[in-house]
Amino acid sequence: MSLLEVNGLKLRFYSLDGPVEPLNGISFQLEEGEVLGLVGETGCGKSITAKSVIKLISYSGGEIIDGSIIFDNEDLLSKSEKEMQKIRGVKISLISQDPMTSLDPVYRVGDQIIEAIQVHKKLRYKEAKKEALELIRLMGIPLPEKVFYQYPHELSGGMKQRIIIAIALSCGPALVIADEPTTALDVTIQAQIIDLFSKLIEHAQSAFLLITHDLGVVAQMCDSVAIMYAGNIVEKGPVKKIFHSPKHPYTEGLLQCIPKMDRKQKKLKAIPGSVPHPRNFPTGCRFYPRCQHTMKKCLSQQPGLIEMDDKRFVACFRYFKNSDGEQE
Amino acid sequence: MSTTILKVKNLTKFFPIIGGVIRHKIGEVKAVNNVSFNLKKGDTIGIVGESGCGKTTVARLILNLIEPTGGEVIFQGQNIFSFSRGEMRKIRKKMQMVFQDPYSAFDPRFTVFESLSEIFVIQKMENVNIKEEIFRLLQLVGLKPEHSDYYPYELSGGQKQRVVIARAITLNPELIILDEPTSALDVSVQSQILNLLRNIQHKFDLTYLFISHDLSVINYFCNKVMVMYLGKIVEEASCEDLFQQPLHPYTKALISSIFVPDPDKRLTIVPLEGDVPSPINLPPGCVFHTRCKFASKICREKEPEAAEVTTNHYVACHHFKKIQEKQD
Repeated sequence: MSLLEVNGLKLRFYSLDGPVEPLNGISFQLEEGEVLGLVGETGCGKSITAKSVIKLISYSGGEIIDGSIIFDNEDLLSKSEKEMQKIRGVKISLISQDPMTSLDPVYRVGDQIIEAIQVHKKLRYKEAKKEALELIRLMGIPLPEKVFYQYPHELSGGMKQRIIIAIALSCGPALVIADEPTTALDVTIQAQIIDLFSKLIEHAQSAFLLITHDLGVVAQMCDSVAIMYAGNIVEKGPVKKIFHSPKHPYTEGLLQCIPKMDRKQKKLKAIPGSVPHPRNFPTGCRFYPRCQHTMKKCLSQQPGLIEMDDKRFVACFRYFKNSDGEQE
Repeated sequence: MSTTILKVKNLTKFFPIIGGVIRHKIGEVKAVNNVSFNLKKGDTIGIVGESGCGKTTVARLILNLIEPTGGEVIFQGQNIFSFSRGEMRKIRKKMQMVFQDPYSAFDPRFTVFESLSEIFVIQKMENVNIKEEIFRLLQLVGLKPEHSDYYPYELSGGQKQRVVIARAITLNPELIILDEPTSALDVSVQSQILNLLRNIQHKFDLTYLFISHDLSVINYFCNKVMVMYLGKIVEEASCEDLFQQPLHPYTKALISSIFVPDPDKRLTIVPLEGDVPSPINLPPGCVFHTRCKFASKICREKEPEAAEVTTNHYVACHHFKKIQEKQD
């Protein structure tokens, strides 16, 4: 039994121009202690997937219309808001993209960590403070006692992100969802935070769902990866397999788009066109207008995920076999 | 031997901090501190550094958009800081800029055509067939004439950046300053824009000053690179030299914080400790000594001068010889 199972998740957002369905029934599993990367470009639906998992999507104006989310053998979609509050922060916690806006500017950071601890655990202030200081120390912050009494504006972006990670880990969650945790940071600070994450993953027993657009970060941290495009997962499987032999044309294109460091390239490969808006997703395979291998079938039918060799799934008609086992 | 088109000499910009009851100057932000470099015709030179290191201020100083505190910018043999506004307008034809954020680079109430035709009006070019010229420019950057009737919100980020590029080449400039032209874009679109910029450079024999925080993009795009830290250039070399033999400890740290998208090449990260000091209270001596593992007494007292290590490879560090020996 997996820790988290998302099956056929579909969302709907209402706007003045009518409803939009940005997710097209996506499914993935996350085992205990696994680090899964959810990768895609702007507008592919990765952040709303994360928000749906902890049922915060209604605060962004969305509604889950189909599918199921099973966490720890419990169906989250049937839970009430009150029951969800006991899961959020305790069993599942979220680290959001922007460290600048995630902390309350008028409270000392130490008190914000204590708040997170006291909401979920019955602890006195003194005991909670001891735990908070220990957490700050664990985040590799020098002088925890000083930082404890500081306000968010006194801290740098990297420090704030560390505090947010401390809050997220304060109750020892089984699943941590990190939505672009390093995107707003500078490269040297990003390296510090990734280093911290790698250490935390080793020690803590938590599973991580890492949402990012940066394939370098995925290669560095994740066990498995799911590539999203226009509301679909187009390829998923173990990181090594997907990075070394990408099967879906989009995955292949993405990996070729990144300038390589080890050699000087004459010309960079590019994927033509741009990501479609959820309002005008093409019929058929949503990638076909940008694909080099478009077949007749792609224009009218949507490929589902099929299993390739062990544990890898890809959604492309090039790999569909007919009943004789030959490629169609 | 190609000619030098831009010479920057001891360029300095201190922003005053105004405060107190009588609104007087209470301090200075040392944004750019004694920066010098030359740009030859046809070169692509990159400036790399973290946020707040002064890269964008350098760009704005070169275009005379802000008043310098000291130093000279000599463009085609003339010191532009001695120009009047009218003369400056004439010289701006020859130097253009592409900004980071294509979303805020246009007036939202103007169509693409109106935005582009404004240039001809401002520069008083009445004898041009504006319509034909704009269609020609749009085709050059890979858009269709129909796009001229679009409003900015109807274009995707990549398309907007193409229009920004079209606007920059309208007046046949010699020099284009590219300030993070791809950092607001997705990777698949980033490679399209980089390839477009390269094509245009060959076609019009342009000189680029490319500002970025992404070393792998710099490595692909530039032939020379300058590394900036807290308003100073700490290392300057050709791309091959800099990436194969980085000498400044900061450059080394920057290069080692790049995550290559290859799960077999996971780094054991040795992150730089601490954060960038505030440019208001610069540390005495070498500005990098607070985060440097090679720092010794001399670094805390004396500012290092840029030394030419090999031909055209400059580094400002007291200990580069020691670091070089360690590498060999």
